[in-house]
Amino acid sequence: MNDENTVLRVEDLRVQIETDTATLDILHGVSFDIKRGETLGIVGESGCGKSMTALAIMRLAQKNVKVSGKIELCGESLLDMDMKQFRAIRGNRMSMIFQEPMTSLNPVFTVGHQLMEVFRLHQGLNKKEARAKAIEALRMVNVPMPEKRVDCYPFELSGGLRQRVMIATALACRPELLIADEPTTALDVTIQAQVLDLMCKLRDELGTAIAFITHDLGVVSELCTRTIVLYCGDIMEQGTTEDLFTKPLHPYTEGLKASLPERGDRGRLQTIPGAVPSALDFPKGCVFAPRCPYATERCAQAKPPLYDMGNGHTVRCFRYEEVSK
Amino acid sequence: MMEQTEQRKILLQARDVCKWYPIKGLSFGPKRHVQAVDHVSFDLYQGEILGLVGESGCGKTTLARTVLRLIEPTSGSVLFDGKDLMAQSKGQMRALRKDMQIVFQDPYSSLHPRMTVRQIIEEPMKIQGLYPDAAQRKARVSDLLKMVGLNDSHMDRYPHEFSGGQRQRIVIARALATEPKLIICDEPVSALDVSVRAQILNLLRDLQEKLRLTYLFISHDLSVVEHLCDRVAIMYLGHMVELGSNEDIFGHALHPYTKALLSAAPQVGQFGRRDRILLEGDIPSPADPPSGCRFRTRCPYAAEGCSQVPQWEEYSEGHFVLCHRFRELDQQG
Repeated sequence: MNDENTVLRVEDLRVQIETDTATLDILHGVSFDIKRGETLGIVGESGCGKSMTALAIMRLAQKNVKVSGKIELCGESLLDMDMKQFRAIRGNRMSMIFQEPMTSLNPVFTVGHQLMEVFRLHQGLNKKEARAKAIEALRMVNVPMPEKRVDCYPFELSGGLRQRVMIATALACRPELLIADEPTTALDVTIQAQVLDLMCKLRDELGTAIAFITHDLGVVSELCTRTIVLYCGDIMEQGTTEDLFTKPLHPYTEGLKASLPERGDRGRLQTIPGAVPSALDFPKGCVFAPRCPYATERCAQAKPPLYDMGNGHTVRCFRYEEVSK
Repeated sequence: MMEQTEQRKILLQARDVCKWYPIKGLSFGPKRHVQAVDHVSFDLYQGEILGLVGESGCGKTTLARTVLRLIEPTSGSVLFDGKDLMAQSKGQMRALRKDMQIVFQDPYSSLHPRMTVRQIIEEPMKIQGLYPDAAQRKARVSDLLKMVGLNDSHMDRYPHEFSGGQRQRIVIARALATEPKLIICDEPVSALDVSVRAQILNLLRDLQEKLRLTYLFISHDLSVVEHLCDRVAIMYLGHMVELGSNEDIFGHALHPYTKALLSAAPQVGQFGRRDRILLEGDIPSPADPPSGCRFRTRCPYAAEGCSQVPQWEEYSEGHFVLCHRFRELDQQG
């Protein structure tokens, strides 16, 4: 299993949030890996734990969040490092893009200053060298007039340009791993197309492994080679994107796909009844059972294991044979 | 869905509607304006769903609010159900509002957190003086809740006790309270998760068929618009650039911007697709739009003549487009 090409390996990742009144189990043992140059889609609805996965890997979660399990970047265990060691890696060998390009840049510094910080911190460059590198980084992400834009403040840039600056910052040190948490959700469709196109090009150029977190199944379908479907802190199904969308084995994946309007079809949409449960009371047994059309007694009692279907396709459902029919 | 009748009744007729916001703080030189909506004309037929599509800042929300006179238009005329809205006094306008309601995007901020569901749904009835008897009003709230898939047990609860999808149901119930003819749905499903979104879309369609409602459906999500709308209007930077039936827009788009929008929208099943039409650059500022055709700075087909103002032309019956070159582009395929 320990492939040389594996960039990120996550094993049995568990996340708990301790509040004043209760301990919430956000992730119940999530395992996956990402290879060099691969884009892994992590999809799910709000509250399924997809952003928490990213924050846990980047060690950006707040103090009351307990993370356990194994996270390895190219074989090195990230959770065993002290913060000093970890800071040398974060932003350097692994970095993250956030959803809101409006709020993830510091408004009181120029974008050049924020880009230069990365080079000065991780590569020990002086101001002049860092500035030259910052301009080059902006050019790489197709920011027009990078020599001028480097001195702009974030408010002077449009949403699309800000997200490009974020990508430039994240890719500044040519990281092995890039975690993108809904990077295009706040952008318009035509701008989203530009940014996705850019991310694909850079991935192919630099060989970066990307974990792409989103709720947009269309984006996943077009961008990601493999996909994980998360629901209430559990992986429901994992496999190549094509397998997942052409022959889903989990009732949840099937339901998600069916609830999207299809081109040319104007009939009623299929729905998944009910709503996503809150982390305060995740169902016992299979977390999806209360909303599942295939659920039986057994599903409410016991949590199904991940069944391996070959070709990297795994599914957490007792009744996957029924679904595949 | 629209029944094909020979004479479709026009519920709302907008002609040359403009909304320009003055830019403050400039004391010298000519006065400048943000041209949020500029000379937009369209008809909305009784019982249809008209989709209004565009990217942020293109003026779709401003247009919808202007035609209801929630925002005073700078110029233009609007006929609603045969009445000239611009000629109505404040009091007359209030009475007319019974027939027009809005469902907003964010069900978290459009419900008052300290009112119960019952108070929320009763409020428009009280304002319009409908159902003066408290018991009758309560019965009406109960009916409305049933209509949107909730029940009486929800009546005395507060908005925070509901999920996003349920809140949107409450917002819809409130909009239905005055038995409106027209409902403006301003991105009603954008804030919802995929599985819940389908429930709300089905609900909106069921209600439209059952109550013979007319929707002006604002969205940036083309797949939702294609699924739900009978006709579709595309806006760009304050101009309406194309208007046509669902089949016209999704089967035979004419404007280069419409084509780019359709191509840019990611779709399930298109694995590893890389052949999108990519538009250059960003949307220009509406305070300083390009002269002539507003799309020309990003249009892959822009030519010299595009610096002239294009005409709103009818290509086939009911299919309008605002572009100098659509005929030659259409012939080239």
